[in-house]
Amino acid sequence: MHDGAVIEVYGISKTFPAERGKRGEPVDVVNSVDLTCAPGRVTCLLGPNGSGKTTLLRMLCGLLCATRGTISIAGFALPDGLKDVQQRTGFVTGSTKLYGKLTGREVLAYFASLYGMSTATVSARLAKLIDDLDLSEFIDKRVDAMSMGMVQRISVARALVHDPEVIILDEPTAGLDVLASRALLKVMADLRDSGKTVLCSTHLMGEVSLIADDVVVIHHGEVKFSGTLDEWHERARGESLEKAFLDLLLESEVSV
Amino acid sequence: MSAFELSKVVMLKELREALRDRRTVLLTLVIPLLFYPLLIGVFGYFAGRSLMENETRELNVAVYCDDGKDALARELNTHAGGDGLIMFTPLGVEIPEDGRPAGTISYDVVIGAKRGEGKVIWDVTSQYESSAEGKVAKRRVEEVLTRWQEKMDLDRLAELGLTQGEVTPVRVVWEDTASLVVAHGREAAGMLIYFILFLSFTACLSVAVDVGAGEKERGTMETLLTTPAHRGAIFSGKLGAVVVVGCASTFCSVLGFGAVIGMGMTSDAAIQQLAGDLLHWNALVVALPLLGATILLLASVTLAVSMRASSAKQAQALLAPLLMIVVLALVTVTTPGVALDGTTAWIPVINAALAVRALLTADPYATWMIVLATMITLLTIAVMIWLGSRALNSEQALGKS
Repeated sequence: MHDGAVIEVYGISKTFPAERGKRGEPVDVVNSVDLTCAPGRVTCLLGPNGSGKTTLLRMLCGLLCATRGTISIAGFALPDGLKDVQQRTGFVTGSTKLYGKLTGREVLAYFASLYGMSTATVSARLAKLIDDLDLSEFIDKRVDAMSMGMVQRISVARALVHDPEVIILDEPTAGLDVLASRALLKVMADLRDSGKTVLCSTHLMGEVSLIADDVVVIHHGEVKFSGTLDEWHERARGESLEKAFLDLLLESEVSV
Repeated sequence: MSAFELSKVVMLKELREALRDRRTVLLTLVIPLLFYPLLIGVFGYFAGRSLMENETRELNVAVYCDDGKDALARELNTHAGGDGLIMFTPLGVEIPEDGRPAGTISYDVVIGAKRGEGKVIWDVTSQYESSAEGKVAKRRVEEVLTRWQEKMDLDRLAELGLTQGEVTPVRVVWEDTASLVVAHGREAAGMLIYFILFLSFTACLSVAVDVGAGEKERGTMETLLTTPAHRGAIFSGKLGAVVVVGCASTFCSVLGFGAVIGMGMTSDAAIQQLAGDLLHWNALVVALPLLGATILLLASVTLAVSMRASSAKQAQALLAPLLMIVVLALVTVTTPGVALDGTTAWIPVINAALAVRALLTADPYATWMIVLATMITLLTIAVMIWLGSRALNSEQALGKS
């Protein structure tokens, strides 16, 4: 789809075995998905609950192994180049939890250490993140005492602490109020403008129209649409994006 | 950053979190510190009070005698010490055959005496109940009966014109040459090790559940595993934190025990001397590393189980039976007849605890068994670390999220 793509995914599938001790068939959650994401663009991964978005993103981060297919991020193939991929990727999920007993600063410093950053680099990087993401008011609060919006901003800072090329966000605005969501979308836009590759899953059409450059729709683990936002608008033919999304899901249900 | 440095970062973070958690601090530091003072203070108070009450309470002894109505009871009262704490009361001439006669339930001891045959003057049967109070009553009454018996012996010898020495041609005197460690060391050291390892294990258990399955449940494990940090280093760091907490717990319990002895909370000189003999530097220098290895073993087992569980609840369900197994193993160490031998040296936890006991009591026969126990302990630790790291490397590490 893009020349010079940073994320290149070809024909990946993920099958979970039947749960141990329970009867049942293995479950195909992701099925032969192709996906490419270019730097300086935001790709929105759309899909209803249970469509396989989170599993796909977890495979890209190396948390899960693909059953079939190839994944390459920033030129490193998974699973062999796992460490290189993780060194160049930042991952945030809406359900991300942080260490409640630590302060925001301690959380960031801890993750910076896990990414192998030196103490001197950490201080400078933290100062920049605190400034960029406007964390100064609550950075020294314990995570336990923070609001959900604050925690999510610390989570984003945590994912960016090592200045990754690729940022993967799994429903990052889930549970956030409008203001916090808008602030987070602005951070994503800033990341895109600074040349980062941003892949974000969501099921909110409003977010897609605000932030997306490219759109990929996934349903039942398969890609149903892949193109630019303009192409997605074209497909909507003047209707709302939400209706286009629902029509696409309906079509795929019928074809199944 | 090297794997060692990474482990250190993870360990320090886990310890920081643990120290900020009141429940963990209470369970791992405060309770072990207060355990011995409370145990000895409370137990000593109640045990001492009970003993004192038993020794000083008034005993009532019923006397059934087939010759004369109350002459024997009067005779026994003259040997009772004159403090009025033992009262022999004549009840009748009908000697009870079996069991306790009706109406004597309020009496501590029931004596039935009838005239003997031939040269035997008295044939005496004493009934008592073998409860704690009954045993003390029996001993106190026995002392009176012995004095009466000795008086009768002397009277008989006098009648025959003999002295005590003439009827006792051989006198044997036994002297106990055992040190306190030899006499009571095994039991005392066994109890000490039991409490130390039990408290350490509960501390390890609490932290291991939190840093393993608890982290999965809270969703922070997923965040952690998106970093390029080596999984083995992460596991080692977490293990390090669990071990440090276990050792801190041990240190606190030893400190608490030391405080009991050092601050004179126990006035029993024998206990003080025994504690000093057991916890001398030579023994501690060799026993502490092995005790540390045992804590490492307990920590690695709990963490490996916790890492394989998908939630804190599941980890607790898996660790509860393990706690019982460890308690049973440690109870074995307090059993007097059990020693470190060719069988026990192969059983993890039991072998290490028995080896520590052997080192504290300077058991000269256990050297090779201690070596074997140490090897088995280290091997078990290695297996547990491998299992735990493996769990962290698998997709299971994400838990049920």
